[in-house]
Amino acid sequence: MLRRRQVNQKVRSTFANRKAHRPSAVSRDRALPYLLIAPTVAVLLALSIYPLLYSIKVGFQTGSGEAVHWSLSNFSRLATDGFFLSALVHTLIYAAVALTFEFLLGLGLAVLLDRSLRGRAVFRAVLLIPMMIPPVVVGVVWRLMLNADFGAINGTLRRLAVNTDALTWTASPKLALASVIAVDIWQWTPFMFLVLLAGLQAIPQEPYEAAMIDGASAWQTFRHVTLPLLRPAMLVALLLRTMDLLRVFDQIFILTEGGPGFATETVSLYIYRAAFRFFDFGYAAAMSFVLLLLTNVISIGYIKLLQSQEAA
Amino acid sequence: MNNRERRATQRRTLARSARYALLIAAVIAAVVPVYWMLTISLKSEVDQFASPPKWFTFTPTLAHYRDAFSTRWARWRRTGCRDFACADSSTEDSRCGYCRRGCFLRSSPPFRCF
Repeated sequence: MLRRRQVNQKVRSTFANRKAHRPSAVSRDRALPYLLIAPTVAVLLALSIYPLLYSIKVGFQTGSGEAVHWSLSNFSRLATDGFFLSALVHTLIYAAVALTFEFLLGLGLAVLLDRSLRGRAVFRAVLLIPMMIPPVVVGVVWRLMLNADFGAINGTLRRLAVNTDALTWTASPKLALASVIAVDIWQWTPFMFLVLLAGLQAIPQEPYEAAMIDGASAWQTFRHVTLPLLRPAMLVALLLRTMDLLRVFDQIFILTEGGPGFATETVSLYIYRAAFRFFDFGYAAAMSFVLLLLTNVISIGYIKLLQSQEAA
Repeated sequence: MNNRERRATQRRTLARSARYALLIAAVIAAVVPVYWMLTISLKSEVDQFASPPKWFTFTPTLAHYRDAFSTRWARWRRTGCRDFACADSSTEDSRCGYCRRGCFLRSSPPFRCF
């Protein structure tokens, strides 16, 4: 005991001595927050900000080695590149359709599982399984299942006497985009479901009691109590999914590699192709920058909506 | 129990059945591809691409799991494929370089496989 007290005293006196020839306690308190976030900021600068700035720099450069020079040609090329524009259209269709279905299905499932129900925990756990599988594995499994000749889906359909000649899924220019969208919906509806269910469970009971006393029907309760109170959770889920959908790569890369032809080529895949197949890093960086800008604009829209909700 | 109450109970039962039906449909949609992945991991190469597909009736094998958890040497020893050269071409089997008597791993010390 005595020893510890001596040590404590020593420590205290050391600090007291230091204070004398160090900046005042006030300025040290002011510096402390910056000191505490410094490691995080350093890591972010090195791993996130620097690569971002570097890619922007590369986007404004053409040529390589000694012949490198600054220009805007990578960006002007974007506007006239039919492949880029069609990839952009594919990305937007992909994101819009998948987001709509994932949201509606996820909301439906969340509502179904919101109230107590026998076996609810089991349903909830099983419905989350698709989300837990790595996207690459999902791509492989669905690629096997969707194969026109040997796949399980067409095999089963043939057994049910369905003519599968036109149903070549990922191999058909018409169905390929729908197929990859369906796989995305299969995998990521559970995420929507999870976030929306959490949102539903966080809604207090009182508004529902008030609605019941007012004689609201089930639909009116849902429309005027549940939906407004669920809005923050909905916006968060939509925001996260939108960002993921706009940069989707792995599933499509495994399923179709952007084919057949360019039927399922999204911007991410085209960026990959430009950078690592054609080694045109400047052009790839310019496309990445445009995709980042697009994602940011949409995300800021969501966040604004979210904030206006909180303010109201 | 009067008529109105009975009808309300009926409607509740119907609503609960509908909820279960929808949830079970969702569970089937979520689980079928995962189940298929699992069966493929347990199927021999012939059954994997059988047409019509074998959803339930196939002879399960753990060979793929054994391969996944074994070293390449152990896999070669089992299958006798790939990088093996037979000690004597007369003992070579038509299937993927399988040797009936002895075989050698190319660019490595002699390595008996069977």
